[in-house]
Amino acid sequence: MKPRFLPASAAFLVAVTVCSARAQWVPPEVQVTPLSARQYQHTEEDETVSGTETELSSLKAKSASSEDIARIRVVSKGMWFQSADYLAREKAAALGANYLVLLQAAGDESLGAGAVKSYRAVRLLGFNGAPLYIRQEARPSYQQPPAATAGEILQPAASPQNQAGGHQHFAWVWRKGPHKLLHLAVFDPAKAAKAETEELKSYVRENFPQKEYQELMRSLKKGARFTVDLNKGEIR
Amino acid sequence: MNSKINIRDAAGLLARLAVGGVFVYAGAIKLLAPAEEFAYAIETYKVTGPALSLWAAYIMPWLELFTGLLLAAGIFTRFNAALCGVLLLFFEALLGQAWLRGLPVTSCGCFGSGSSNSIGYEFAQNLVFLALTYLAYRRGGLFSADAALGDKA
Repeated sequence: MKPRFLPASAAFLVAVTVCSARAQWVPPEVQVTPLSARQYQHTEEDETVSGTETELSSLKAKSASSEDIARIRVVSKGMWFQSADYLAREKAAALGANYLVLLQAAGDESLGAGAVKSYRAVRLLGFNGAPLYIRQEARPSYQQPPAATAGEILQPAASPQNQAGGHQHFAWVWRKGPHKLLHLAVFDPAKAAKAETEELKSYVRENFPQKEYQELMRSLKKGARFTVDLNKGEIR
Repeated sequence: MNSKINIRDAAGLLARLAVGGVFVYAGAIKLLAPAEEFAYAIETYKVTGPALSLWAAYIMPWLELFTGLLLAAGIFTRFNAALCGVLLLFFEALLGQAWLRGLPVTSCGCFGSGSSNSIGYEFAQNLVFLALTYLAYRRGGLFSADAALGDKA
């Protein structure tokens, strides 16, 4: 190669690569919405809280059933499931969550192959540097999607609409738990439309080790007060 | 038609097309999947954090695709062959450190994240690609755009 071609070839390659990657990048739209009693019961339209602080303890007072769960809702639009999932986990990590349960809610076309892949990939990573725990009784191999069980239906069929449609992910985040453990569950959208929190809680109760679950709930109740700072992205 | 094409030049051409094709395939298959999926695979090597992994997941497939296309077409042949070699060496280093550390890398991410062979298999496979890349670098000028334009690579 003639010497003069070297900078030209390098510059050309860098230019087309960077431009292509930049064109591919879609800025995420993420909203963190503390759970309100109304949202919790799914009786009215969701509302986005734009204030700087919301005391979850006051929300807890409105809904007895939310007493031990701080729920963070992450909404992303026009993204792959993995993208939304990634953002949800990032947000949860920023919040210092030790426990995270993701729930794919109504509005999604389906839980496609991407969800299954994501489910597998997430399993490999762990969370906050801790090994990832999905289900006590079922640890699927990487090549095999998790078997469907009650409360958890994973459909292996791919859905091209996944990319076009918006995704809504509800993340229940527990902080202050003493354990470095992530529990992640993906639910069937049809069931998620009802978003039966009691169902989720019972799911967690059944799948967390009993002792750890009890300790978690106890520590949460002792802590009693959480404040979500939407500007700083913190739960205090 | 040049009847004096020797076997080394022919092998170089085949190597160039093979390596270029592999890079095009590797880049394209990653681009057809969400970038985060590849980012997950990168993270499992425990060399980069989530943010850098995501950036790499956006950049790397395009780099592979364009490098592969340019190499296969014989445009800036030696530069692109050298770049492929550097990338392969980098991949080998990643695989090697994961191998030595005993990391549970169940998907190397080489050709997307959907399926993968063992680290050892991928490591050996990359050595073959490295050899082909070297051949393409040395003798890959046959029927190249560079040659047509008068740059005797």
